[in-house]
Amino acid sequence: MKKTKKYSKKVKSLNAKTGYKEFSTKIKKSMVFDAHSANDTTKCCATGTCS
Amino acid sequence: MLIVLMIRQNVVQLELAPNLITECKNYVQNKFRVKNAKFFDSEAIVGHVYDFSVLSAVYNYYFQNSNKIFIDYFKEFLYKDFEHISVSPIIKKSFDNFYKPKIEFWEALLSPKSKWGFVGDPHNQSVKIKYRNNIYYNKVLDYELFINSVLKVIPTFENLFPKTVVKNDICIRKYKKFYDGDVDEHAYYYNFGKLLAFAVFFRSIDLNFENFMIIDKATPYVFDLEFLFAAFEDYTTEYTGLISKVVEDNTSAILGGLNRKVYSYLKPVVFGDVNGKNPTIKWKVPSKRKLINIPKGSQKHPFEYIDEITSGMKYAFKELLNHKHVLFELVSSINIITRFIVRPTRVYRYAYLEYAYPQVYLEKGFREVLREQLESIDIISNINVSYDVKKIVHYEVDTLELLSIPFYYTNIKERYIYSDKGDIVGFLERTPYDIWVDWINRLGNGGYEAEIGVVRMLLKGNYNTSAN
Repeated sequence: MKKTKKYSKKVKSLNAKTGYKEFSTKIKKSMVFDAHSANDTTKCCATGTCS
Repeated sequence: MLIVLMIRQNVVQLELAPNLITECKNYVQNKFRVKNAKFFDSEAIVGHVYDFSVLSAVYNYYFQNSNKIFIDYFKEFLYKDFEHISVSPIIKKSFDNFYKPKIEFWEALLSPKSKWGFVGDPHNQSVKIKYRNNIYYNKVLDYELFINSVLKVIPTFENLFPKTVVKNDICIRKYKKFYDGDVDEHAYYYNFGKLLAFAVFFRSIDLNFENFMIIDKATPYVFDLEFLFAAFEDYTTEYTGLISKVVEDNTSAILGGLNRKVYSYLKPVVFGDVNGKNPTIKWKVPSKRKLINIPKGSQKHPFEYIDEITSGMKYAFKELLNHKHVLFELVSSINIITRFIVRPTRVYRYAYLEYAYPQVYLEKGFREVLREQLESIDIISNINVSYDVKKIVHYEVDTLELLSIPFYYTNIKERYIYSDKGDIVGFLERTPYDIWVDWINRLGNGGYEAEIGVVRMLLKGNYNTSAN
C-alpha cells in the first residue's frame, strides 16, 4: 500500500513537471471545436512555428 | 540569447527552449541530410525533433534523479538516448518517406544555387517552398487561376492578393515582406473594408493573422485563399478570420496584434530554475507573436476607423454585385477545386503530440493513439454533410503517421468531399456552388448591409471589452 502511494506520488509529480497533466486536460479541452472560430485552424499551425 | 523570465509562486523561471531548439538544429544537420542538397533545415523537421525529444528528456531527467544543468543533459540525451526510444523511428520514417522525396523533387526542379526550405504546413500532395524571392508549391487546388480571373474583371482588388503564375502544375508567387513603416491608416482601413467584402462575397475562411500582412502604407494583403465557397450553413463575416470580437486569442487579421492576449498552446516550452536545472514544461504560454498585423505605431483601435472600414466594404460589395452576372458566368465556366475543412489543424497536431509523451508511448502504439484521439475529438458539424467517419479516421491516421497534415478538397459543383488520396470521404447535402448562388442573391437583396452591421458589432464589441 505504501509502495503504491509512493509510486502514484511520483507519477503525479512527473505528470506535472512534464506538462502532461496540463496537456491532457486543459489543452485537450481547447481542441473542442467552436463553431464561431471555424476559421481558426491554427491555435498553432501544424508545425508549431507560429508561437 | 533570448531569455524569458516567468515568475510563478515566487520562483524565477528561465525559458530554456531557444537553446534546446539550437541543439535540435545541430542534430538535424548531422542526422538528416540529403546529399548535395541546398536544402536548409526546415523549421518543420527541427520542430518534430524538438517535440519528440524534449518531453522524453524532461521525463528521464526526473526518472534518473539527474542534477545536471538541463541543456547539458538534453545534449547528451539527444545524441545517446534519443535514437533508442520509441518515438525516434517516427521522425526517421517521416524524413525518409515524406520529407526526403520532396527535397529531392524540388532540388531537381529548381536546381537551386542557394539555400531553400519549406514553409507552412506539410501536406502529402503539396508543400510550400521558399527560394530566393518566390514561394513555390504544387498545384492541387484551382483557386489561384480563379482569383487571377476575378482580378482581371474587377481590378480594384488586385493589390490585396498575390498574382500567382501556374506552370506545369507548379504555382509561383512573389514572397512579400511585412511592411513596418508608417501607415496611412485612413487608406489602410478603407482597403481592409474592401478585403472584408471580397472575402465574404466568395465565402472565404481562415484568413487570420497567419495568412495576412501589411505590405505597404495602405495595403492589407492575404496570401492564402485555399478555403473559398465555404459550405457552412451559418456563414457570416466572422468566419473569414479577418475579424473577431474575442479578447483572448484573437488571431484575426485586423485585431490579432492588438489585444496582445494571444497564447501559444501546442509547443512544449521548457522552463528551468536560475541554474538551468529542474526543467518543467508548460503548454499555454503567451505567444511570442512574430507578426504584428496592425499598423506600426498605431495606438488606435480599428473601431476608431469604422467609417473607413464600412465605406470600403460598401464600395466593394457594390462593385462585386454590379459584376454579379460576369462572376456567375466565370464561376460556372471553370472548374474550381477548393480546400475543405473537416477538423481544425490544431487537432492533428494535438493527436501526434500526445504520443510524444513517455507516459503514452510506453503503453501504446502510435497508430492506436492517433486513432483514439481522432475518434474522441468531434468533426466540424455545422455543415450539412454525411461523413464516412471510419474512412476519415483511417486516412488521417495514415497521414499523421508520417507527420503530414490531412488535406481535404471539393469541386464546388459536386457534392463529394475528397481526401488528398482522391478517396470520397463525405457527401454534402448541397453543392458549394448552389450555396454560393443563394448567398450572392441574399447579399444582393440587402444582405450585404447586414454583413457591414456584423463588422460594426464585432469591432465595437472588442473595443468595449478591451477598454474595460
